[in-house]
Amino acid sequence: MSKSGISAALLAGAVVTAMTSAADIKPAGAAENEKCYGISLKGKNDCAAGEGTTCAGTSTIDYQGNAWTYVPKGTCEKMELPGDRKGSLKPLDRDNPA
Amino acid sequence: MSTWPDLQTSVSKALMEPNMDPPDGVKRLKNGAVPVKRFNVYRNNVALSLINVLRQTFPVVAELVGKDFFDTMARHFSRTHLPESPMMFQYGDKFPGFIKDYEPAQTLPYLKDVAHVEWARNVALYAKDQTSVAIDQLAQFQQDQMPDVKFDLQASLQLINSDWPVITIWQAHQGQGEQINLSKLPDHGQSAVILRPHLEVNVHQVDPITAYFIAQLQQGQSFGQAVEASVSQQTTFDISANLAGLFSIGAVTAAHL
Repeated sequence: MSKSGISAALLAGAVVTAMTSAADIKPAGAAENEKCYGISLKGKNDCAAGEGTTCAGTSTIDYQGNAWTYVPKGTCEKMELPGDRKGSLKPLDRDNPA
Repeated sequence: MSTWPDLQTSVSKALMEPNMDPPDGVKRLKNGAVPVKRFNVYRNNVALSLINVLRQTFPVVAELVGKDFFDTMARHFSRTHLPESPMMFQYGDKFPGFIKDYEPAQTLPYLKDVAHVEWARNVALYAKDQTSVAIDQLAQFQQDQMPDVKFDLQASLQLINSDWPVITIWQAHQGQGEQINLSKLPDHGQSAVILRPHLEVNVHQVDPITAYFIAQLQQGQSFGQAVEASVSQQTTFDISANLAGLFSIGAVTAAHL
C-alpha cells in the first residue's frame, strides 16, 4: 500500500526512461587524481591509512608508507622526499608504525 | 606552586591572549625574569599553525580575500575557536558561520558560501568509503513497489544552496577552469551536490529543485514521497532525468523497501 499520491505507473515509467537514458555527468572542476603512498606528513593523510591507524588524518609518522594522499595523476612517483624517499602507487614497507 | 592541570589551563588561556603575561609556574629565566619573548614564540606557533590549517582547508576563500585579510580573519577565528579534536582536518567547521558574521567580510556576501563549499569538500574527503550502485538495481522492484523504494545515499553527500553563483566562483579558482568573466557571472544563485563516490571529491552544480529532491531522499523520504514533494515545488520536475542523474553521479549506495 503506497502512502504516496504519485502513481506507481508514473514512477515505474520514469525509472525505465532513466535506465535507458545514457546520463554522462561530469563534475565541475574535476581533475584526475590517484592515491600516492608514503608522502603524507603525519596526521595529514587522506583516508584508509591501514594498520596502526584507523582512517583519515591519523597517520602517526611523516611519509608513513601505508598512508596515502590524493595527488594529480602522474605526479606521485615523481615526488622526491627527504631521506631519498619517493612516492609510490602501492603501499610501502618503510616508515610504518611498529 | 600551582598543580599541573591548573598550569595547563592557565598556559592555554594565556596563549590565546596576546597581551597577557606568562602565567605563574612557567619556568623563569636564569636571572629570574619572566620569559615573555619565549612565551610569545610559543604563542605565535599556536596561532600560525591554526591559521595554516584554515588556509589549507579554505584555499579559495584565502585567494578571494588575499593573504593579509585571510590571516587576520583566521587569527580572530582561532582566538575564539580552539580545535575540539586532535585531528586537525576536523578544524574549521564553524569558520563559514564565523565569516558570515565577520564585520570586515560583509562586503563579500558570497564569501561564507564559498567557505561552505570548501568545508563540504573537506567533509566529503574524510567521510567513510562507500560503494555506489547502478540504476539497474531498480529492476528488482515491481511497479507497485516503486513509490515505497528508499535510497541510501553516500555518507559523503552534501548539498549546497546559495543565493550567489558560488560554484562558478569556486570553479574559477581551481586553476583549470575558464577565466572568470565578471560581466558574465550568473545573476542567480546556485545549488550543488558534493560527494566522494570513489577517490575524488566531486562538485556537481544542479538545479535548486534537484538539490531539493535529493534533500528529501537524504532525510529518509521514499522515492514516491520525494517525487511528490518535488513536483509540488515545481510542476515541471523531470523525474527520469533527476533519477538518472542521481545514480550517474554515484550518489546511491543501496535501494531497498
